[in-house]
Amino acid sequence: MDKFAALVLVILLLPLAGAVLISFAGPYLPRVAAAVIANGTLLVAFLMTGIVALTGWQATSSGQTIPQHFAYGTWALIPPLKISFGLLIDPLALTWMLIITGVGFLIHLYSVGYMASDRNYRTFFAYMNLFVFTMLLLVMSDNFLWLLVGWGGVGLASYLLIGFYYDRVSAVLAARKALIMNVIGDVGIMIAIFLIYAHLGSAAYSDVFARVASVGAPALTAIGLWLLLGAVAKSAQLPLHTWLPDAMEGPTPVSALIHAATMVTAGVYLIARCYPIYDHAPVAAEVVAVVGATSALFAATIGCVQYDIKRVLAYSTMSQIGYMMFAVGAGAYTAGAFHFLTHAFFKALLFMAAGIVIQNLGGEQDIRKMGGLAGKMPLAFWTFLIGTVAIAGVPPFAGFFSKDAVIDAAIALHHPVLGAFLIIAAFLTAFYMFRLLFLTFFSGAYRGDGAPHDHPMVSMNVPVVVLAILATVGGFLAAPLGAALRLTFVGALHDQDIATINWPVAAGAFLLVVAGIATAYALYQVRPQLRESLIRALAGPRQLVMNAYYLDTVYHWLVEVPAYAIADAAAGFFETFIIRAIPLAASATAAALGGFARAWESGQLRRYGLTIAVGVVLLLAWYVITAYAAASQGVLPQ
Amino acid sequence: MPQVPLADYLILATVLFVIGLVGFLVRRNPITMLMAIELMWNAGNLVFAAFARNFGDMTGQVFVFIVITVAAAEAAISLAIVVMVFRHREDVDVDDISVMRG
Amino acid sequence: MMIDLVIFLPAIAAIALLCIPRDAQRALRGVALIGALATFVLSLGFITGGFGNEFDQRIPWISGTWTAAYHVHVGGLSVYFVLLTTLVSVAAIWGAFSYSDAGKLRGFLALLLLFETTLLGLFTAADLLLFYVYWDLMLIPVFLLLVGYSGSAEARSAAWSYLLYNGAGGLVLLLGVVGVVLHTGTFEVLGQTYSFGTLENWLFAAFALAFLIKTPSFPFHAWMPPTYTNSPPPLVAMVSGVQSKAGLFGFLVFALPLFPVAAHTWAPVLLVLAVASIVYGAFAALGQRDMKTLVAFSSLSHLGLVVLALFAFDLTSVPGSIVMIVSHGLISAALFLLLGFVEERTGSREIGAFGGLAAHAPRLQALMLVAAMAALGLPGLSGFAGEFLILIGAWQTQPVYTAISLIAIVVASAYVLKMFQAAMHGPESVPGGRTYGDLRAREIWILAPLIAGIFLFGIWPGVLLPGGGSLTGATPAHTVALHGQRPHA
Repeated sequence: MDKFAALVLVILLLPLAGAVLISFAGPYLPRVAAAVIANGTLLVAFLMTGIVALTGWQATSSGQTIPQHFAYGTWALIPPLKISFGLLIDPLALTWMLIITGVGFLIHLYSVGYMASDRNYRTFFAYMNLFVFTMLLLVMSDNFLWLLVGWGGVGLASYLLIGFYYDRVSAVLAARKALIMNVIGDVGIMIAIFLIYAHLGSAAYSDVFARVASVGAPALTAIGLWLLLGAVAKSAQLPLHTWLPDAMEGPTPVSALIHAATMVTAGVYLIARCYPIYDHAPVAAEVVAVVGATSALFAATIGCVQYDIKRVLAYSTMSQIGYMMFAVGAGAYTAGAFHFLTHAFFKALLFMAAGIVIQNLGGEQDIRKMGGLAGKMPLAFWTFLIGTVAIAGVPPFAGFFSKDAVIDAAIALHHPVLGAFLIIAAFLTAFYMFRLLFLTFFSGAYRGDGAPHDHPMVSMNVPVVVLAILATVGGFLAAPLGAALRLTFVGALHDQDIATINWPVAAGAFLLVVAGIATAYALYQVRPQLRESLIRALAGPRQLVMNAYYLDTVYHWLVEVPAYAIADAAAGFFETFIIRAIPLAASATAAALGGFARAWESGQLRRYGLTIAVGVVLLLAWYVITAYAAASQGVLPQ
Repeated sequence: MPQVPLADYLILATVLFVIGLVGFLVRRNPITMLMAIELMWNAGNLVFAAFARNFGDMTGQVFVFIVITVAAAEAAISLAIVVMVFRHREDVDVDDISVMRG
Repeated sequence: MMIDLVIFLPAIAAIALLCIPRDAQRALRGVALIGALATFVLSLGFITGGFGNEFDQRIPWISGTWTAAYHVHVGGLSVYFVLLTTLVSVAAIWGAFSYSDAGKLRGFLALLLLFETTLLGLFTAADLLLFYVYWDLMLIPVFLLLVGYSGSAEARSAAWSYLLYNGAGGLVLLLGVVGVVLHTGTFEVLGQTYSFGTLENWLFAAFALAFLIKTPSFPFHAWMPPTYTNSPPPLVAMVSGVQSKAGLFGFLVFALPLFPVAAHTWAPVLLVLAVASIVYGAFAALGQRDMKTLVAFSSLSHLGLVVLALFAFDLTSVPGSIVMIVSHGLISAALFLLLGFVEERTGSREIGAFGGLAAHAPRLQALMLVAAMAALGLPGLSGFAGEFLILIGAWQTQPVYTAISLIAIVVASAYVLKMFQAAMHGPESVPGGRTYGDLRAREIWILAPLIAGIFLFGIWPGVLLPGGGSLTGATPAHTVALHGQRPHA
């Protein structure tokens, strides 16, 4: 193993080592030590990733090969099946790795303060480190099997962290829902792997992507659609998104790291990673684009009427991932990755700023009980504002560039309807984000109980400020990112340029954003009465949207109820009356046969005598008859 | 001395056996039934003896002695059982004695 | 000689136990544990030179019209079963230390050790007569443990249903064995190929029925829920962890190589039963209220996968089934022992009767989490490795059946979480307000090897299949059966 291979492996294993160390040391480890281990491993991993990225950059400019591929061993070798353990370090993986370790480190740092008073402080860091490890595994793997291992691992970490406050029933149920829906996605990926193995004879990316051209479109479409099932479950896209709002039961840093910045973008990563498959399966790619754009619009509408600060952000996450999904589905893989990058900055920022507000208000998350906080929590306000303008798409903040790249792609790649969805969603995004901002920080005086206090904590403030800076300038990463990702998306069907801005489109989108901000300003700052009358006029549709189009109810009646009915029928009726009836039928048969024999065992002596006598007579008769028959043929019995 | 033909012995034995069998099947007094069994034993003995004489082979006669011995033992045990049953139940109708436990 | 020692060491330990006074608790425990541990350590000798090594011992036994030999063999396939038995037995016997009735501990330990001997005898048998003898001998210790050491009326009733159902299976197997021997003239049929003609279908059916009852498979599992539910945890760990593999072993070592043609003829039926077990077991598990019964039905579901693997006749799925067999042994033993620890603490195993144990038993929660996630098929743990290798192989020959089986994975996530969360999460509540502690050191060490195996075989299942899946010791006929070619068609 050369030095580089070892270095890459260390990046992957460092967070795991931290998790293991904290878990095994358990209560013997001081709280500070747990925090230091968790943060230290991530910081080192981030720095090492940075070194790898820079080395890779230099190597490329001096003409050496990248992507780099490292093989470590064989997972299972059962000819013809061979699955190895190897890592693939290319710009796409590095983009995700930098965000996972970098933003991951910032959120870890934030957690030191946010979780300070929690009883299960060490467990929290162990779980968070476990998450980082599995997420790194997901993006670093060089084959589908280890991708799936990482995929399942982030599902577990997400489950553990959503249900972190495990004495709260709602958290327990939310965690269960998240894991079950993610397992549905895992099954989708498993089927995709089975199909890939059946048609392409391997599970390694390099083999699979090299052979894609030799396989017919129907097979690739099937593979692409099953992969998409995994992607929508993990990335909370239609129709498997219902777990994400509930996942806000987890601590806020978890929402920031897992359910905003990294894990939920795994679906985008998956589709970008499998770009040769989608390039050759236009139908599957089209479905990805439709799912993404629809989810973007769908979630944006719901975001407009929610009152829980984290739920608004959750629906916003779903909506923004919809943009990324659309981009990778349309073939603009680089644009999808770019939006992932900026989204990681501003959405983590928004969650962490919201976390400061929530903590200062003693756990209050209902924006109806906030208001007027701008002056009381200046840092939270200013950073939240930066996040808001960034996500809304106000130039020159990060979201403007990445969202524009996605919308440009929609127009350039001829998706007029879906492009319209995205533009409407952009308007709604600006509206609901500013609605959130106004209701939280302005719109009159504070509406909650008691007086809000600002408790500045360095470990929480520093990451927020760093992310605010990144959310401000992140848009200018387009040029280097685009150049780097060109090395991954070699031979992609469509143009991968993200650095050029289509100014007429950008200006049009910006006008809509301004319109969205203006609407929010009008309804929540200037004319609250107008808002009241609007709510009254649209009571019916509003109810529908507030309940997220009743999809939870639909799933409850369509899936949960029948599944439990089948389960109860199997465990009750079927088990009792069919399964147990098999041995009972056998024993009844035996008893009937026995009853027949038993009738002869009467205990009546004279009956036995008669039986013997009849038996003797019959035997004699048999003997006589056979002897007679034999004699008639001239043979005498011996 | 005129020989009694073998067939006559066999007819006599058959008659004895059938009397014994019918007696065993129709009577309900165990003592009588034992006597009927004794008749069947002896019908069998008669056949053994007759064939032994007819073929000049003494094995048959030897077997008669064994049968008599076994029959004696059987009678002794049976009578003992009958006595025990009578003591226990004051009644020895075999139709009423259909279970092994008292 | 070494094989005999491994087989009979537990029995010797059991006899030694009977020479120790009933109330010498320390001595009893020491002897039993040392016996089990020594057996395990000795059995490790089978793999010191790698998995491919063969060990064989043969003593002529019966000669004449039919010949039989005391022929024991370890290698290729059987070594996995032998090691699984010795490993799980250590955990079970150590776990039995906390058996509640001190006066009965001696008999309990002795019977568990005897059970281990019968299992080892079964898995090493290379002679059909020997195999059959152990097959039925196995019933006795389990029956006695259920009748005499479980203490409830349900357990006594379960003992009878176990004995009768499995006894009936044994009878059917006997018919099959007699049929084979009438034809071959010898009980030593391993490694030979015979042409049974039209009889082959019937013989295979007899073997298969017996094996399906023992595994058990849908719809022959009526004995399983009461037996698993009412057995003391160490016993059910061995029954579910090891004894349930006896039928699968029988398929792999006897039925498939002896009757390759009939195996293909019957494959559609067995595939349907396998898929029914997988899906039905999962749903039935979801409908349970008793955690032990829930895990019992999950066993039904998981072992159905092995039957699917065997009768998909795929080059990957059959070796993959070995991973599943080992993995299921570890997972179900760990889960049943853990439920035993939970029951010791709460006095209940009813879903909803208690909860929130994580608050004061974090280590219990952590180990339960690993075992539960492995049962759920979490990628990276051994349950997934087995499932994945089986399914990816079976998909190549039987995509429809495999696709239907995948439903069970989703349902598994529902029932595993139902159990795990009911026990560990939610508001803390224990019946009668009992106080309870976290896992003690002994309890952790009991589970440690099982949990370690779950991790190891999940991260690297290849360690079990170093021969690249060409299971050494597989006979030519065997290979034919596995490779899906019809030899005399």
